Amino acid sequence: MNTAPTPLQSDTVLLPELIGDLTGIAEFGVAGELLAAFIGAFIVGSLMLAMTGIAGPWAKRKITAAFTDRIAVNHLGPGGILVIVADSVRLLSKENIIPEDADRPAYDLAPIIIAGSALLGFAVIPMGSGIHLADPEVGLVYVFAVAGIASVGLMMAGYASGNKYSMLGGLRAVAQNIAYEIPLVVTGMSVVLFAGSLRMSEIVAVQNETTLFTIPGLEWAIPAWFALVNPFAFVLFLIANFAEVGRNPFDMPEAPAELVAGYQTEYSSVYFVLVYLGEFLHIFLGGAIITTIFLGGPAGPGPAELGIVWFIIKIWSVFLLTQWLRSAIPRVRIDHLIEIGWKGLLVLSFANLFLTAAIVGVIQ
Amino acid sequence: MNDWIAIGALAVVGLLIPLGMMAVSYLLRPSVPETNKRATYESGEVPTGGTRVRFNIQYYMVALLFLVFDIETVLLFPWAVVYLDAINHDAISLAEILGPMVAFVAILLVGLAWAWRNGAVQWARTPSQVEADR
Repeated sequence: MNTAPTPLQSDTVLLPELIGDLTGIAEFGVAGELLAAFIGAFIVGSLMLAMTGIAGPWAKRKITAAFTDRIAVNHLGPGGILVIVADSVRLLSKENIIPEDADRPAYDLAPIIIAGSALLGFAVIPMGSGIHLADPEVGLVYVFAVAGIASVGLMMAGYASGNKYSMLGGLRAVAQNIAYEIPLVVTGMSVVLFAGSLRMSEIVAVQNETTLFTIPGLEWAIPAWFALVNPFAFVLFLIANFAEVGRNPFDMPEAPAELVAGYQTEYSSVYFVLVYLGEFLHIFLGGAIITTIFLGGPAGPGPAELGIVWFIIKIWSVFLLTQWLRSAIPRVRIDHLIEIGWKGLLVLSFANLFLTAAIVGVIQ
Repeated sequence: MNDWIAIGALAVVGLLIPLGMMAVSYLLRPSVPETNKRATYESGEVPTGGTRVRFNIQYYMVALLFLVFDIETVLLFPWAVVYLDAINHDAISLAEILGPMVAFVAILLVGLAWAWRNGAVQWARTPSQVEADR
């Protein structure tokens, strides 16, 4: 590898363009462009909403039940899958009880911010099969920045609920998010050293263009996915990501045994649904980031049209891993959590960054 | 096609989905006001004191540290992007590209070590520290 990777953005077709060309609305100038962008955004939004719809009320229960040797939901539909419909109707038709001490505008805005900010990150994720809404030059920074907005929502939810548990839960959530944000970003940066670009499509292309090694005897070329090139960074990123989405072993903000439900204690009805939805969207957004920068994005064996299938398999694998850890690993204490973040992961992520830089410098 | 139009469209969709769900819920849900239903939840006890409790100063210290390191990542990103090009440029040696950034981060890590020594990132005191203060 003696030459710099060439820019590849010319051959990626984004979803709004695809829709514009397929339906012919691209001919209507700016209005057509806007309409195509909205249709594309709606497709991406519905896709991710469908994933969280399956994961939240159904898959999560089934997976946890499998780990703890139970059956879980099995009455409605095959394997209990129709519980998704039943649960969404049930949750939306609950009475919305607003605590008397609530700070009104902030209390109502927090669920919208938590759910909306998670959805925003999916704009730059290449999902394969042409489902890629936007590909700005700053893709990776954008996705970290947008995912970080959730901290504001958590703080608002915690403070505005007017409840001691919510307040402490919100503070813990923010302390945890900011402690693990830096290791997450710095580890993500070590991928940029290989790729030489922040554009998501280029990061994916660099991983799949290079062959790491070929298995002798078989004709399988193993692509240089960054999880294989730099497994240390991959593990660090996974750990930081679990903390960022607040899942075991880092589910301190909710800590049911000590804080009831943390920042979501006072939320009921549709507000609870939105907070819960936001959490699941964040798990999937974390999975999507991991897939894109470490697991070769939508690439996989078979024709390129199958990209979306591989993408979904990869993000569900990350989701499955979070659920596995949820069942298998105990929660760490709040003081340990902060110390692991600032004293452990932060230092390791800088070590990883400079080690990667030195290795890239020497092999070039 | 401008990327930011599509991102803006997703932002609008990301706002419409929660608002739509709230509208559906508004149509479906009952409203049965009762006394004490809206009381602050405190495990079924009568709530005591204010809810704006005093909290640990450490949250503030950690937030300050975050601010420093967050600005530092902003400065690291441009370096990471041009790194590969700079390496492939024959006129620049590895030490020239890597050296300044290592020095920059080293200064910050000295700061972290100082904060660490002063207990800014320590949540609880160990028994031996409590013993030493007596």
